[in-house]
Amino acid sequence: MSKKLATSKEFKLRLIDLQYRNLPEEEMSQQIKQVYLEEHGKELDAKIDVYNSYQSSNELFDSSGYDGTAIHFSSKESGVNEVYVISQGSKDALDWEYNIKAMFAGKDSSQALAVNNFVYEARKEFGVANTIPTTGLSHSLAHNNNTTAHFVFDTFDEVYSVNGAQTNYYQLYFIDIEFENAVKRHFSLSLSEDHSAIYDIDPNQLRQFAENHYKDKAKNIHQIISKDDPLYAASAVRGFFTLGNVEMVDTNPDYPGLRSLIEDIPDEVIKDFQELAIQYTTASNQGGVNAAIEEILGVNMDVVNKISDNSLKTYLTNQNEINRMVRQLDKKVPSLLKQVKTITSNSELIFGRLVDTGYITNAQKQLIVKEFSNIETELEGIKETLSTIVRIRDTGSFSAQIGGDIAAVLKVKGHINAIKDSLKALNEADLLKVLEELKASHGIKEVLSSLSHGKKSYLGTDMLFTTNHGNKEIKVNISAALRMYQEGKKVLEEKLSKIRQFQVAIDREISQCYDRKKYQVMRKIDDIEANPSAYTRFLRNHISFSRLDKKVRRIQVHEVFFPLEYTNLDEEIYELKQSVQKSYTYIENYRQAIEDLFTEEKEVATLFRLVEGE
Amino acid sequence: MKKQRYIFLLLLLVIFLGGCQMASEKTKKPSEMNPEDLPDVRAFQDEFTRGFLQSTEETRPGYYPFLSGTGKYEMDFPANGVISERAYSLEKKRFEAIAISDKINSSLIKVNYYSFIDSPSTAMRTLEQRLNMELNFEKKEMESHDIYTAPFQYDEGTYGYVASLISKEKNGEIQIVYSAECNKNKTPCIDAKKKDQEKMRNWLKSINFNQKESEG
Repeated sequence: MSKKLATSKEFKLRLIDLQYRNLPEEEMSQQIKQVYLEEHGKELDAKIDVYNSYQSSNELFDSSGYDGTAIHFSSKESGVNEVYVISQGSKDALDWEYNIKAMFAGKDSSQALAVNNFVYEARKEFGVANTIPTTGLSHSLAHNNNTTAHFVFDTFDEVYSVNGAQTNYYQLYFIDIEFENAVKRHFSLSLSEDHSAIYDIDPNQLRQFAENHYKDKAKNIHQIISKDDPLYAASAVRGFFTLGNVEMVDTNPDYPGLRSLIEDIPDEVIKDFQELAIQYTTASNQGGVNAAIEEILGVNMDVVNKISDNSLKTYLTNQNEINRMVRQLDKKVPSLLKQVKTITSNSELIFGRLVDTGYITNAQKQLIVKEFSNIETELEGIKETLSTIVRIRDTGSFSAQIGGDIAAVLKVKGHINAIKDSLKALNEADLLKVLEELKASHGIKEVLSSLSHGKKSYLGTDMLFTTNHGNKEIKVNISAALRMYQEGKKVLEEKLSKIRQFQVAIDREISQCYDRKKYQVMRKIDDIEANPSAYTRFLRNHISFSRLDKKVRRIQVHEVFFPLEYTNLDEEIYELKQSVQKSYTYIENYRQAIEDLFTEEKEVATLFRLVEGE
Repeated sequence: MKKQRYIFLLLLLVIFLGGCQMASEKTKKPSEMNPEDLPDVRAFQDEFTRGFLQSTEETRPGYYPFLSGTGKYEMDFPANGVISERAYSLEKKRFEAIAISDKINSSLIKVNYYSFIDSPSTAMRTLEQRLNMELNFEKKEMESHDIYTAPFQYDEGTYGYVASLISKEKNGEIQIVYSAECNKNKTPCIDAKKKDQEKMRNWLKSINFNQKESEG
């Protein structure tokens, strides 16, 4: 029987955050241990193995943009044996492209499939059975993936998420055949009807049915959601349902969040938006944003740009393209106009509320409303121009047709460029601040800091403790303190070992050199004593004699070797060692000071003791 | 007058192009043809479905040539089938989902293409999990791919077959879920199922991974 680790929600949140940092395996394990220690006040009594999706050769993870990390906790002593799988939330453009598609269009489930495949692969890598308790951790888009995998593929025993993109019952309908069958039976949809007839079912009834269908598995879903998270607001859109045990937190008290705004927008308006989104995503997946614009407007900007003042020439050389453009506009503009009108006719509701809640200023609102109504006018203009073409063609006059067409094409070009200008103006409106605020509310850090209670709080993902001295409140960054203590000690240990190496080097180098030189001298002495005649020249230095007159017969050297003097660097070494000692004292004093601040809370002292290890 | 000259040129051009168009009428794709010239079957009446059909010539009685949106596979398309546009999904060359409903036979075929699946065990497991039931797969070897098929049955007369076609050249997997309803008032269910199974088996043989398909 595999035992599971008891971990707090703060631990899980910080683990999700750690995964975003893409740490090497060794460092990841180290950090997990540290966070566990901080959050639970005791050492993690289990071996950690880490496996990342980027280590896999499976093409699926790359192509779907799935990024995940599996962590295997195991311990023979305690019997702990379980896997945590962290699926990463939206990070890059590919993810957001998928986001829009999965969230609003709700058709593709590749990332849920990727999650499931990754979990199987990780279990194989860890050499554990498929029955091992497996917990899914997720933030943002990953929640949608993890819950979908949980429902359809039984991937997890439990799912813990923060600020997640909610589950979508349309998406489930397209992947979960059992659910699809149940929906069809319950709502009496015959197989002969169009497969997308599900979009015509009353969303409320469908949601209730889905909630009931998945209720048992939903019990194992646990979520923390910030009221200020824009994804939470977006989850009010039809298609989404929030499942599991949900803890709502207010992470940005300056703003009320956008949820009530979205809830107040009628379903019909949302539906229009959703359909636009389906169209947009289907097209953008086929050929990027340009294709999406072309799909929505029916206009290829290359063709528009070709239309010059010499319009007859343009008309003659690009007649097919222009004809196609006109046909497309004729097809696309009416429905697009309807969708844009939905936005403009609800602009007071949408943008007025954004002003009331402080998300945008009145000036920004006016700009947005103005540009949207400009776009509406231009679309009206295109529609009107197109109807004149048809009228002229109906007259049957060929030259009138050409003249009419050319004039119309020039007009259309003007309208399209005006729409482009409006879109540009919208991009330039300074909406950055509100976007930054919303982005922060989507993040994990803001949720962590809102989970502060009692003496514990968070700065980023660092854990802080608060204590009162007199009437002063002191906050101490315990994570940083432990890091400094632990890493400081490590650095000092390294320094001490370097000093020892230095000492050994001094001893070795100097005495060896002395011995070598002494040996050389001895050799020379031996040589002098063995061949005295060879050294006759030394005598000649003192007295002069003719060549055969005098002879050196014997030389005796009286050698005296003095021991090495002034060679030891003990004093310097001592100084160096002293400096390490001083730093140790400093670090220990620092630890003592923090412990003193928290005399009542024994766990701070425990944390330091555990970090100290030995 | 300059304008008249242009008009004359244009007329020439129109005549020339018109001639060309007439000559190429036969090689045109169904989506480019005049709707009145198309076969009078549901598959061609629906504009979205028409876009996938390659010719108005039958491949065998009741079927027309179909090319997937990814270009990764071809198959025979039933004349009564219609592809739901709102349920269609295409993710570059990686993923494609089509749902073909057949009003006359009261059946639905869902064809999902996954470029990244090449392991039979993964494919079969995914199908079992999607249906939430154990399936007994049968393997059939084809030239360029293997076919794994299994029947399934939900209560109340909904039954069907699943199939997984896995390319031997790592061209991905085609996952098929065929469901049908059996109307007890018409034919006995057992007979209908037998007939369907035979039809399904034959149809599966028409599906082929497209080896020539170029990237991009």
